[in-house]
Amino acid sequence: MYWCDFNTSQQSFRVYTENESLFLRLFTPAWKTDQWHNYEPLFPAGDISFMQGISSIVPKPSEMKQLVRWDSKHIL
Amino acid sequence: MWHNPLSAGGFLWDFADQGIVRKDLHDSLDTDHHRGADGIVGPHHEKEGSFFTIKEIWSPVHMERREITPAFDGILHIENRYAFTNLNQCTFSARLAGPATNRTDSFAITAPDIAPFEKGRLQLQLPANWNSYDVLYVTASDKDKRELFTWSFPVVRPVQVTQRNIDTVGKSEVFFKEADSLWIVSVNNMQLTFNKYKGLLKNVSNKGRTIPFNNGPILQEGENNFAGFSHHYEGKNLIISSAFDRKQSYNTLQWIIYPSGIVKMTVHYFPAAYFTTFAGVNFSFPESDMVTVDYMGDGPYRVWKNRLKGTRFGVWHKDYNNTETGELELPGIQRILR
Repeated sequence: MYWCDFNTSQQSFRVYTENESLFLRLFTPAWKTDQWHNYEPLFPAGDISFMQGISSIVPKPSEMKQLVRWDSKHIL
Repeated sequence: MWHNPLSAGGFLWDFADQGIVRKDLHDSLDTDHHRGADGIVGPHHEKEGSFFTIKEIWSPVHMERREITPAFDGILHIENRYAFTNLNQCTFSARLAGPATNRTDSFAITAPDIAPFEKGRLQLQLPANWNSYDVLYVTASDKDKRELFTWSFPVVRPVQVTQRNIDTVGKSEVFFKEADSLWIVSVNNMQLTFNKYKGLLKNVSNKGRTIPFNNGPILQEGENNFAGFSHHYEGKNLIISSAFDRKQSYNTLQWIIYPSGIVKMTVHYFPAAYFTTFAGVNFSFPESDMVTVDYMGDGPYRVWKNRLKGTRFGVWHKDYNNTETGELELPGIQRILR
């Protein structure tokens, strides 16, 4: 994002960033899963986040835990 | 797939989200929430994020990444991934847009002679004032004039957009007072409250009415060890900053409150580990108060670290929604920057 207007039922505000490639995170979808745990995306805590690194969407995360794909994580 | 000589290609398993027609519910489509097989487009063939991801990844015209700087010479490197079609049978066009909503300039690009599997150049004849626009769009269409993909190349950087939009000078004065564990800052009609030990933004109000954006910044997957806060004025700007300590408070937080009412937050942090799932900061905001967002950036669909393709740069409007891709009902999304 470059900037974002948050239009709310109370008062609206705008957030700018000077950072390139900043990700905006808005809220968290209701948690759900299935019997195989195939779709369990990870979200940050809080409600609104400004992220330099975001999570991956991983099919079958239960199997991926053993595999630890190098591209699914951010490297310092 | 492209790099493996033994790869014979692939196919997309499911075109559309699968559902059954419910005669008992006004002939509506029932996907049984997320349990119906998940397709590339929605049950009503709505184009979702994956549709555009696929369009970009498997476009037979492959565009190499390019950062646009003032030195941009109008050359884009492309690759012909068709097996039989020369790119001179395709059509290429470009469009510059912004910053004003309807400010735009379109021009054609000569289709280059590039044989199948060869690489080559797309030469744009840029207008003299190209650098005054916000974004360059380049569209490739196939020999039947159907769009393959539109790539976006931002011309402006976030720092330029911030500088041209924000007035940090202002005519007001920034007032500071202390109350117990809080530092209360007022400027114009705004009042900001910070925790003086942790530096977190606790409360914001404008004309006496609260803006419920607070309790941040909190580092996600990082040590929240901002400490040793002090405050001072630099000219008319109020600066609240934490003290760096190699062991105790190596992550730092600074707030600058300008006389115009603009507040700037700067965080320097180390992620908690060598490998982390996230890097960034969180704030609190009541979800029930959110109506819409308008933003400038890539969009409009949700992205993941490994699902970044297919977006377009622009100014987007999104209505509040809590839908999940793969289920019914897509949120209201509009492109504002034409």
